[in-house]
Amino acid sequence: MAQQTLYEIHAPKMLSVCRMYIKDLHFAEDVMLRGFFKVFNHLDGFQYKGSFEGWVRRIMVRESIDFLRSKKEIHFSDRIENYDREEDAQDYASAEAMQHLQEVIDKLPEGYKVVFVMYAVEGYKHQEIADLLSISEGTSKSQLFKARKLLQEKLAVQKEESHG
Amino acid sequence: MGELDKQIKENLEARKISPSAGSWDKLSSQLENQDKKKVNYKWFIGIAASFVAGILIASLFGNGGEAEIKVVNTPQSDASNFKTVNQENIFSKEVEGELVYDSKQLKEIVGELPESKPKVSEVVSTEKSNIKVRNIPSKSSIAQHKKTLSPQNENVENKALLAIRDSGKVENATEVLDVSPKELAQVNEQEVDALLEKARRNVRLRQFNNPYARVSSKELLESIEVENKDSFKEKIFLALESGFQHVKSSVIK
Repeated sequence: MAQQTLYEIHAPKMLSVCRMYIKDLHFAEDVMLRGFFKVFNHLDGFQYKGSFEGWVRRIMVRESIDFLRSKKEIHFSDRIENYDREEDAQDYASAEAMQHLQEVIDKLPEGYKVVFVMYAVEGYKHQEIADLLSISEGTSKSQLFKARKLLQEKLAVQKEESHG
Repeated sequence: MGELDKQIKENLEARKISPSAGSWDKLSSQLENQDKKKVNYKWFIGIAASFVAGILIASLFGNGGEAEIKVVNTPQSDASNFKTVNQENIFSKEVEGELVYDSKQLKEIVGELPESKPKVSEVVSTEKSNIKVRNIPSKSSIAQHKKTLSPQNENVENKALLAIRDSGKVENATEVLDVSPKELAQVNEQEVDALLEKARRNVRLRQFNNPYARVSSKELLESIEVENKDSFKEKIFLALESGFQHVKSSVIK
């Protein structure tokens, strides 16, 4: 019963985490279940140093990356570009734009998407991303830059289409 | 972090997607299967541990078989005891590493052995082939011989023994005993007694001419030991074979 309670509390957020990495919702749910399976089998590994949700969230991210690797869907470009350029200050916080944000993210290449979500949403450092994805820190930075640029373009197009 | 990242983070972190209705059932069934596997794994460990314990017990029984083999080695100690007994009783006195032969005591000792017939023949044959006369007998051995003589011959023997004490050497005592090994092998215990008595008389008679008969204790013991070693080896081989069969059968069980 305690396990079910924990599951019911955290499953919606964790499915959202998995969904950020995995386009297909069914696959994302399978990955989430695998993540919860590991959580319940390794509950004694939680050392109460951080929040329980943060610990579960990290397990979900790792499971999602493992899934993408098993599908060989992650491709990284080692070409490093200037990623320090600040993007134009635009208002992407409108409800209409955010409604389609996941769709825009889904359209990103897997390499871009994974690094962007890990860095921008989950708060991983480039070194951590490099370690988890077995890439160099520079590759992680270039992937983030490209992801941002592409995301800006797509959101701008979406905004123009919505304004008609 | 840019404005875009911040806005996306705020929106996506707050997002919730409800899983499908049967997702918990699916997960709980997986967890139950995991528990069953753990239980089976524990059973497997228990069975493996009991199997290993069985092997250890079997090996311990095997060691017990070896211990039995060691017990079988007891004849060796018997043989050594036999040597000791011979050394203590057959030879009445030791003078400078050589022992004086006393046939009466030899007869008593031989009579005590479990397999008297073959042992008597062996010992007597050994006696015949290895007894050598080297040195002068002591007074005590002469006195011992006197006790076994009949009264009629006592005076004669006294004179003879005294004369013998001061006379020369005798080469070999093998001629003293006129009993052949073949003859001894065919007789029973009574005949052995009679033959020993006959041999004793012959010894006494010869001691008149060769009074300083002495036995080389080392050679006699070595000859007995060599003869015993053969039979002892056979016993050891038999014991090893039976012990091996015992261990083998216990391990198979």
